[in-house]
Amino acid sequence: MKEILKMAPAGFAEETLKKIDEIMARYPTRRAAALPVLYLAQREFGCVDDRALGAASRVLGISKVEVYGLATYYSMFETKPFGRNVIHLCDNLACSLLGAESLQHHLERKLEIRMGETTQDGRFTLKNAECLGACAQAPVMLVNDDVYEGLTEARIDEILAKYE
Amino acid sequence: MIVKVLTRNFDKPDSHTLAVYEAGGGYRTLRKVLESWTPEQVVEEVKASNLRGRGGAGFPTAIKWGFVPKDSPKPKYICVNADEGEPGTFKDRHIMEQDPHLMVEGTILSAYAIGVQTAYIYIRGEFVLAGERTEAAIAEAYAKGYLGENILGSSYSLDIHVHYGAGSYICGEETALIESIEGKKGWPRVKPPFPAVEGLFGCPTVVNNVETLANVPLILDKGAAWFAGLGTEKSGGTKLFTISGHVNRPGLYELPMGTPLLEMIEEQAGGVTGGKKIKAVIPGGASCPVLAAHELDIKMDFNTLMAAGSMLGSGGVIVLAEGTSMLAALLNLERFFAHESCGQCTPCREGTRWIVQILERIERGEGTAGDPDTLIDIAEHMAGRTVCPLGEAAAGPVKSFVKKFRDEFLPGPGPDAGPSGTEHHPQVAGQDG
Amino acid sequence: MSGNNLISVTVNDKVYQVPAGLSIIQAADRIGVCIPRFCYLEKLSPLGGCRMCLITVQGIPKLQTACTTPAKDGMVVVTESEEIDKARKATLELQLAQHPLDCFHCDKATRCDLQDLTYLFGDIQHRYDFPRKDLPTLYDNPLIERNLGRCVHCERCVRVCEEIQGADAISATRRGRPTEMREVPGGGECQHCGHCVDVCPVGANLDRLFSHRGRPFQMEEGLSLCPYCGCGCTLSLNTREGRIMRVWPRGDEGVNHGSLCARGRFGWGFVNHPERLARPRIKKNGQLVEVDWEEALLFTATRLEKIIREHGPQSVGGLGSARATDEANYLFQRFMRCVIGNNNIDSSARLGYTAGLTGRLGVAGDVREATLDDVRRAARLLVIGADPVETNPILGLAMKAAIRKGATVVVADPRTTLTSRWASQHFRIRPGSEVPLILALARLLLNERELSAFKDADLLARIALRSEELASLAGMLEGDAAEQTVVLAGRGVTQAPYGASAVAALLRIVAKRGASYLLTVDRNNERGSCEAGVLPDRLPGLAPLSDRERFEKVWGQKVPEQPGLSAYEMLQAARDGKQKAFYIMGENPVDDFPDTRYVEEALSSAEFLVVQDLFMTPTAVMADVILPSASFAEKAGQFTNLEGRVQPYTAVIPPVGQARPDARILVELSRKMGKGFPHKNIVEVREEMNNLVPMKESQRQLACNGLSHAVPGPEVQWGPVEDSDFPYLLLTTASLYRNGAESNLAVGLQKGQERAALRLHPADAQGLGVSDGDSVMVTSKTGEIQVSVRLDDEIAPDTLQLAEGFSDANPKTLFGHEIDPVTRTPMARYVQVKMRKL
Repeated sequence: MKEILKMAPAGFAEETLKKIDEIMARYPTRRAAALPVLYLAQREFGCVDDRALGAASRVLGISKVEVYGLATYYSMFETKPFGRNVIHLCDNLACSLLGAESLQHHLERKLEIRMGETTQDGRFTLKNAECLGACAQAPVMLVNDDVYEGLTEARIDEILAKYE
Repeated sequence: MIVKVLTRNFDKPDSHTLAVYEAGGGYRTLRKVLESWTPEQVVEEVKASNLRGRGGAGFPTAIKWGFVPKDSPKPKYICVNADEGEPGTFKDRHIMEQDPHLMVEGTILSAYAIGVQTAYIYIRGEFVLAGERTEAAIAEAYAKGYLGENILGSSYSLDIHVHYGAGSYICGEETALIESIEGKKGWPRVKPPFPAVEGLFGCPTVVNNVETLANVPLILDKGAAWFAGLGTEKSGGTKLFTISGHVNRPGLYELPMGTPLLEMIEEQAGGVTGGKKIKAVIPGGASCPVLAAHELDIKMDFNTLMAAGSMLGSGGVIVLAEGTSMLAALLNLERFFAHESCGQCTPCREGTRWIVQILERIERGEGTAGDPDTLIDIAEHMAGRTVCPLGEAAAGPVKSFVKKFRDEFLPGPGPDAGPSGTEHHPQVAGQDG
Repeated sequence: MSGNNLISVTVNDKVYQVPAGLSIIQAADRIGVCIPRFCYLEKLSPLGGCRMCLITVQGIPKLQTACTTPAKDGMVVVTESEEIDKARKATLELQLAQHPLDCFHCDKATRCDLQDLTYLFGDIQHRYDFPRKDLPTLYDNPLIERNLGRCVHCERCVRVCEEIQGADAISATRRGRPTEMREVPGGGECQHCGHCVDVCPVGANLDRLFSHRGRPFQMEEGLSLCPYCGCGCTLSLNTREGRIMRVWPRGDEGVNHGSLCARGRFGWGFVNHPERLARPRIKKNGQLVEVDWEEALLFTATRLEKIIREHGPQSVGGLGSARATDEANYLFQRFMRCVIGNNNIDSSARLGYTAGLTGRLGVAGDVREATLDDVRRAARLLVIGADPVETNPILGLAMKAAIRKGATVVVADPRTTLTSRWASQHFRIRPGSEVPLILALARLLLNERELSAFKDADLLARIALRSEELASLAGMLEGDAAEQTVVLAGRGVTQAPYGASAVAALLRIVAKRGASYLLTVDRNNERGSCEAGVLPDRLPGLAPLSDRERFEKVWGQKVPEQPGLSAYEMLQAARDGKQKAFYIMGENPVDDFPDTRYVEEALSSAEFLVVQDLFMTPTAVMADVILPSASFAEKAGQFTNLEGRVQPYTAVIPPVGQARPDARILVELSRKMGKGFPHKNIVEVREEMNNLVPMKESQRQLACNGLSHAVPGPEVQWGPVEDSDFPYLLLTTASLYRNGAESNLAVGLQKGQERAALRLHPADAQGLGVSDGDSVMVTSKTGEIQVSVRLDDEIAPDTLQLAEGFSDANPKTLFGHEIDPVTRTPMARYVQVKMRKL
């Protein structure tokens, strides 16, 4: 018999697996790395699709449906493909008191999509966010990793122009 | 009266860096404690300071630490609750963005007191900058020997890891937070067992809020008596309040415990926008029962608010000016709770959705005369009958809003409806004119 | 938690003594106080989610959940009050608010906890006046539908799948009100135990095979035993008008404690299959034609008598059945011995249990045999050459239960199996090295002279183990926990050359260390058939032939003195022209015995072949007489499970057509042959057998006198010999979805897995240019089969794994017919093959 090869679990790229190893070293169980692994999977596969579920399930040692349960429980994971840029508009009370709803209408009109949808060209996905902890600068939104505060319709137009 | 204790570094340029933190005396306390204090002394000092948890429940911190069994052969953990998600609250984000080392030093000192070797800081996934600065601060602390093996040459070692949430409010509940670190859904656990006995990975665990821990270096630096003196009889220290809504200067204010609410709104936050009257105030974050205009002459501390049927909560004050639709405001809050209900227990899962549906019906002008009572009835069945406090949190606003502003939940246009009788949204009052 | 201490609890003003360590709901259940619940179930960890079991505990202001609150000494509990009633009604109102109320067409109606509790409380408000959200029914699973709208979110299905089945195939997904208990989209992780259907308090999880086949009150329920593997699980057959409609467990009864596997749950479809043989057939002018029983029996008797007359009694061979009842097997061996007049008696147990038994007989004195409960309680499990999760799934569950309590499981097996995936450590030993592994362990743990001929280094090289790895395996049998160590061994050991010596050595280790052992048993009554005397050299109760006088006295007939031939010896005798007739009762050697061509040639060289079976199997096709027999559900009797537990059961439905129970056929045939058995019913057969083989509790008192088996010398070649013409090594495995011909005709198991799949490493697939689902031709020196492939990077490169039992690709075709000289068992664990893409 030939030497038994040690094959890397199918799914993640080599460097992602290296990163996952580093992350797993922080915890006494493999499963504890689930959220960081899901972030990595979402980045690598574009969303937490079936391939991502399979890959995450293998490295975490839990079933695919367990991973699916996590991906659908936590609102920052998407199981369907989404836009290149994700707009999270806060619609909690402080932002709402200061006009978040009309900004939502503005965004929906401007992008020609409803909340939860993605533009035809895949440029933007529009989502509601829960309180972003910037109530003093309400209304606020998060575009990808950037927080924008004190929004007005004009300011939203300027901001969106920055994203391809 | 603003006191700059926790926030003393906030206005300095590059306040988040180790250099600035050290220049202000940072990590001196850590060195002192590791050199000459026993863990028991740390616990005693914190106990004497009357520090109470800043996450919302206000439980005395040192007593919580005391629940950790001393003789457990298992590892112990401390989890820093940086999952700040209570609408209207943004104090912990400021600490992490502007003075993360204060939290880190507080974590190390507390971990030393409890005998912990591993700490996790659970940060909301949406808090990108806060996360970056916390990670940077931890890296700086490792580089300087404040973290890792044999801290500052002592026999004490500690690792701190950052763990990001992923969009679930209930993970701010301590057992849900523990589940989430374990790689599970944020489903609060049935208690007992309590985390101090069986928490993270089945081991004794303390979960403390960011602000709570940020106070610890100050207590150990300046002494319990000094800290206790800053607060009220039963609650030491200052409190970070965040004021938002219809005020001229919304923001973060560090004030002594027991500061009158009206003073906060008028003096610190510059009064109500447009010179309007206050209609109502949510005193401690979205889950705290609302105070009507006649109830605002009140001191802001744990016990006084409790006596008034509300809560200090996380200190997130949301001011609603006259003209605000209480129906729309409550609907906004309840949509939040319905979205954040984990779904494991019946009253919360089904109740929050039903409440939202009734409120939406009233908003459409299709409410029935029985709706206010039904709302209160559903809320009363949620309060205290769920696995975790989310049921209570969602019920409190319903009961207080409907009882105190009942007219607005009855059929027909309410007193603060817009001209057409259909425009009920809070933004109507928020916009000038 | 000690169960012995009693505590005193006041419930509704009455004082009760209950065992310490219970929750309030457990205490209430034991004293007969009813507390309503959806999510609580004794066998699952408490959730505390449904909030139906709210009660008052004196001194605590809020209502508490009875399922999560521990009962403590002196506690004062109130389970019924106005406040509690109001809370429970409010919860029910919330549940009903979202429920579709489609009881008219729900299979669960009248057996539904939501219906029952709503009825019980009566005056529940129905204030919810919004349109109900129309939630879908999910059909990701071929056998179980998940009706999301009816779900009460109790999560019993999620917990039972995780905590008992260990499949983790269902999870709560999404959150809040939209939470759905479901499988991963597209399914694929379910092992089809169906436990989620049983525990569902409402009609959310339902058996798709049953869908709309009757109201629960139209079903009759009869207890039976599973006809597939050796676990011997208790089944409750739900029947309507004499046909099986569905199968479920009965409460927590039986060795299965309320669990079933895919085969037990969904494998019943063969019973009422349209291809069931309904009338006897005899071969006339080369054609099998239907005749009545009288003609068939007379024909059989005449032909057998003629062959005996012409060629002597030795010219007839018989295969009893590893599937038939103890009583039928007992009569079969008596028929062969007394009516035919020889000891040529064997069964398919020869492929498995008989070899292990031969090993057991090689050890003098007591060796502790484990029960399924011992496995559940074990602290350490050492599994050698066995895959209990697939061969004996309920034993697999017992193993998982032990793991959940902290047991360490170490597996030594060349294959990647469902069992090895559960192991704390899996030593992937070289194929065929189970016996050298046991010898190496024996050298470490026993002090026996005959083992001294070996060199450790030689053994370790053969096994592909390092000495520290062997030491850690041996460590499983050392120390204080040895008493709580169970050794599980399977066909990897018993089907190997010198398997009996290995089993004997293993048992000597077990006995010396105070551990216990259990052999996996693939077929439901391998053990019972052996103990009933279906062996060429042993009488009922494993009595040696020298003990025959005792039996002759009872039977009033002579028992031949000469030991008979085993299965492959009979086949060879037929090929050599010495054996002229076969009587095969409920066996299908053409499919089930290694080297298909060899078996077919042997059977066709016989002049006369009698087959007693349910179906026109490939063996029956060759027969001169086919006698249609009754299925397990249609007859009474007893099976002996892998623990040795003798379990009687009764008929639940009448036989299909004119099919008759095996025992009745044998009695009638014996009468036709002039040596009629006196038995009027099955109970008389059982009593006769029990008089000859006394029972102690549920086990037989067996004659386990020591034999001695030679330990093989170091010169023996174990494992495959490399052959460059056949570069791959094919290893056989078991499948949850197949076990014999019947399983291929059970629609539920076909839905579970339609076709065989050859698992191979992606590197090998790449070399061959095949991907998932492609077909390959697999060829060995003896035969070839066509099969589709499934890529699996957890199996070793250059090896292939193929499950036995699928009729579309039978690995038995690929094997030779060499038998071990001691156990006379054919070797069918691994074979060198080549492969080409089709």
